[in-house]
Amino acid sequence: MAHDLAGRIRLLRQLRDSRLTRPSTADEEPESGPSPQTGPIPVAGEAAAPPPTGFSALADGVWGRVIRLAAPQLAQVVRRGSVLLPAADDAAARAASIRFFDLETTGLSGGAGTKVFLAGVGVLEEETLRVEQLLLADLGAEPAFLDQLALRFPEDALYVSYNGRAFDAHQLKTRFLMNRRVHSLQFHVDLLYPARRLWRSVLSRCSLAELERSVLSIRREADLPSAEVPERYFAYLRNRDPAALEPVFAHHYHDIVSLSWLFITMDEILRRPCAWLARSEVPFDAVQAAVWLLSHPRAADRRFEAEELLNAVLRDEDRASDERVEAGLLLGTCHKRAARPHEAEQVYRLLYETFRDPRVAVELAKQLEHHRRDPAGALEVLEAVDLQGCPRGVTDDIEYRTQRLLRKRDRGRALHG
Amino acid sequence: MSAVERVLAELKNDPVFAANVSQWQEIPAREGTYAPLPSDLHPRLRATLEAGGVRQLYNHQADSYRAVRSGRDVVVVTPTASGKTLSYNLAILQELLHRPEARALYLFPTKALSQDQQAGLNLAVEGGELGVKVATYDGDTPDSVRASARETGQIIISNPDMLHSGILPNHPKWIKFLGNLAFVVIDEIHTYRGVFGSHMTNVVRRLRRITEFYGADPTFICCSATIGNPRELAERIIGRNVELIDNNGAPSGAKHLILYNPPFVDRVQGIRKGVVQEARALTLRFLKAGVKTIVFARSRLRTELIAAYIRRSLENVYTDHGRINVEAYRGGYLPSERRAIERGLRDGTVQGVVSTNALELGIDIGGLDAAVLAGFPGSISSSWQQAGRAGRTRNLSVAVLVASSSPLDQYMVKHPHYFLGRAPEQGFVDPDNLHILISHLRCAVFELPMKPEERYAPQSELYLQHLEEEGTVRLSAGMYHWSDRSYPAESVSLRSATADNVVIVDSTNGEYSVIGETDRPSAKEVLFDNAIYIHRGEQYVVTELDLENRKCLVERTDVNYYTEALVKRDIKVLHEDETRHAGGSRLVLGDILVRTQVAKFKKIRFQSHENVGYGEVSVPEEEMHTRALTIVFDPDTRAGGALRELDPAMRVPAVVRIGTLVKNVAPVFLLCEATDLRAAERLKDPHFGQPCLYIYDGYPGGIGLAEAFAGQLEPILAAALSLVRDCECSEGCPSCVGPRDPQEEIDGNPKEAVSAFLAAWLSVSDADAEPAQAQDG
Ligand SMILES: [Zn+2]
Repeated sequence: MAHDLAGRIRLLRQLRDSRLTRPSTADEEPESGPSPQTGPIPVAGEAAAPPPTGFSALADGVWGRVIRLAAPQLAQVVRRGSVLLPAADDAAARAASIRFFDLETTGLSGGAGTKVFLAGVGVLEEETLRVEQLLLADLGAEPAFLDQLALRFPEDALYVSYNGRAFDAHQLKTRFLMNRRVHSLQFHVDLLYPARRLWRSVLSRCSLAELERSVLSIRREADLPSAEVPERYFAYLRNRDPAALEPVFAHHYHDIVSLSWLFITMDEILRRPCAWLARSEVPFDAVQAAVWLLSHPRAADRRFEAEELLNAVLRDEDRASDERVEAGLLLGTCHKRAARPHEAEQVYRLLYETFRDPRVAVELAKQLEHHRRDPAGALEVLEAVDLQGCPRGVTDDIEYRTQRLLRKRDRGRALHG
Repeated sequence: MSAVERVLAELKNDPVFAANVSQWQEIPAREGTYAPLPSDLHPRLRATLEAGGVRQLYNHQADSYRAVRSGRDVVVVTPTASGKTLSYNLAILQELLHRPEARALYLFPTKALSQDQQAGLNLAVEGGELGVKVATYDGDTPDSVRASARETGQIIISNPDMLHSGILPNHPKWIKFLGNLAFVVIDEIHTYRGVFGSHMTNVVRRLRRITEFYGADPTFICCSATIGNPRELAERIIGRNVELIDNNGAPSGAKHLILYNPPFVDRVQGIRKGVVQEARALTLRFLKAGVKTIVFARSRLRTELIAAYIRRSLENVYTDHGRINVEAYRGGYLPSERRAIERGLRDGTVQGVVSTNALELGIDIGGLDAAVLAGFPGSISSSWQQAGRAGRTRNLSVAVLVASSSPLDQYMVKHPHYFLGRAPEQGFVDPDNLHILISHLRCAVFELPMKPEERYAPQSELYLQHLEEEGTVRLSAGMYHWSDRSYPAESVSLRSATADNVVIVDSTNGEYSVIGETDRPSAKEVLFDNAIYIHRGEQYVVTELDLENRKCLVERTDVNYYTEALVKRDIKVLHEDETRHAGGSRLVLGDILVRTQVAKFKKIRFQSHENVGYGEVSVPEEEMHTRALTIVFDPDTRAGGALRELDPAMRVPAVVRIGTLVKNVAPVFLLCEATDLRAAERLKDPHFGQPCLYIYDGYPGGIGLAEAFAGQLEPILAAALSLVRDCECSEGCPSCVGPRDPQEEIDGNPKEAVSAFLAAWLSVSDADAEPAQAQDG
């Protein structure tokens, strides 16, 4: 039984039009030309559309523009070598041309149907940051767009992003796969992870926008919310008015520039954490900063700063007791690993006398028993602990150690008595 | 003498029971037919089989091995307990042992089945140290193991929903798996009919597009329970020719099949004892005799009721009889709850289970001795499937169909030869349903841009143009590209009309725990404020239905009634596609708009089922655009003439009753649920200007039920007539045209009116059938 398909689709459309109440956002561009319900669809001719301001054609359907900006501070950091970058030998060569990158996509949920339509990369040239933005002028031009991206995103360069590891890099790889090409970024530093260490406990969120406000003290004028980016692009595809994209270009450009500033600031903080802690203009989580430094691929180079930082927290009486205990425990571990039992004991002793924290008591007792060979002293420390409100695991540990030390003492007495 | 033999002898000698049996059929035991293990079998695979005691194959297993090895797509028709899994695992494991980079995808209609399957495969695969990696990938798979499943799983066990919303839209992540995909197993393919099957067909179309993109061309292995057209259904779903393998070689034990019609309580009004009470009594008899029993109930509500009644009856005896553990089992339970019940059935700690058709599928619940079908399950193939749940071993088993007073049940139990002799129904799909096709076309374009000339479906370019107008796709450089920010698979549910399910939250004592979920349109009909919701035998009262946030709060309660919504419907004809004159009437196929509103509910007392009060409901109306077959009773047609011969006062009651009758009889002809098809009558229809009967599809856009109904109109009406004529009642009863309703205030005998009307309508029905005519309205 044949369906009258055209008639049924017509009907479907009428029903949709009569019922659909599409929430119209205030800043949606008024559509020019005939309404899509009654007239023909605007033809998607890349050639017919004017390029957005400052852009020129790189290939059929691919627009690009370059903006340069003085970046002496960045040049200095890059010359010196950043603590944020990996340390492999050839990385030094790559570090000379590190690339800050960011992508804008047609959707935020990922998947095969989400396309990259705007890609930006910032490269240091002498004392300037050269930011290049590439726009996909229409969806069908993706192969040419990817050709251009492949030139600007060499696989073996060193990339810096914010939250690019989980999303952007994956999205880029997908786009190449969808076009039967293999392309992936091999060296990629995502600042999100160290940023979380530094600020997760200090700030409400760790988004780039939040860090811009709180850490870099930048206020963007009339910035476009990320959530509105895809709609802007689709509006541009529909009516070919590049004005709709201006806020997207600005937003995207600022993201890359902010990324480079964030890179400088984070490098400064992590290179000289004690100095930044003292200046206290940018609050950060010092204990977590030390954790990051200690887990750094070149941890040996960073141990001194980490320990100095922990020491500063430990001895700063204005800081919260929890923070000081955490810092002291971590510092004690550093001393033990470096075979400095006396320093470790000193740290635990100081903490123990100040806070009587049960976890500290356990550590101190271990030091006394095993390094100082003073089980009686260890027992004394454990017996003086206030177990009120102490976590279960720690209580059990203390109980177990106390019993063991008691048996040891009794055996000793029996032998000598 | 086994427990089953004892209880069968007892029933045979029980005159009260025997008086109500309309058919007692003994199906003899069957010997198996065997073939040797294939000679080319990989030595490790052979060793694994032999270690598990498998030294030969059933015929059908050997045949499917041969067919799949030579690259043919197959559908294997497998009754319960016929070694189904081996019929596909063997060829696949063989290939994976020789070519470890090959991949296989196993699709099961439910998560429960796929988890069951993985357990079985792990045993086989690890036990024999075959070194084949098997991974389950479904909604319950933790994120941490997903990546390794994708990368290293040689056999991935999943379900259509996950394929649709998780795998296909992210296919670049699956490149290694999909690029090497050599086999796709679609188990329980008979479940993919109607709406679900129409969705499934589209999911397979999408899968084949993607595998083709990656250069793979997997062999499809489908398994089906007995249905009328397994090959046709499989071919429709996978879009290619398949080889049918139905030479079942598995042995089976003897089985007694009993059709039982509960006795009359009131013969004049045609009221019989209720199916719930009769099923309960019979099940108790089995359980107390030590016979492990499964009861199939037709609805979730009845499942809970029967389980509760059985438990209550056992409370008095269990000190004497030891603990008999009876569980309810149905959709809407949490996976962990269901797994626990399945385990209990296998390890023997649960002796009885009351289930919806959820357990009709091949979930491993071990051997049961008796199956009680509390009501005809809607189709002959389902009946056999449910009856097959008893007697998985070679032992004697029994299955009893307890007829309800519904017309279809009465028809089956009174026409046992029809029941036993009829070929099982056919499953059909309509993948080109407007709504279903458009939904999947969106997903397909999201997954890969589409050329206008690509033959995704007949005339798919027209749909693409529609999507372009909608703005979700865009033609650029000769291809349609996805041009919307959304993720289209997210808003398409394969199981129901809408993707937005309502979650049911138990808020008793301020503790919030999710106890189930249901789709939005049914939520309006079962979860309105003050409705009684029954879950695992517990009663809950709805305290708040929050449709906006897809949430329904319930609290535990204890009352002596349950609730039923009173639904009001309004129909508007949108478009007439086609008019034909057949069966003595004018038939019009077309699109209609149905508005549904629940404004009231009834409170119905347990046991007596009397109405004990009403309540108000305030939920927004539901709107559905669907397909309808309208029977127009023009005066110059035989049907119209027959109607006009009736006393004017009897015309409306007669048409209403015919609507009820055909709606009840049709499912067995169309292999659908009674609720899939709706009927509404108008004595003076504003659109057609004549008395009309609308038969319409319960699914948005229609899935071909209206069309199928048009093709089967005469046999359906003939069955309706014989049902009314054969009924013992005098003026209509629930088993035929429905009992007399005092509010109708009619003097005549409605049953006689219907009978006379149908007889006059059908008398010369073959003579004036005319060829179909298309007409654009
Ligand atoms: Zn009757």
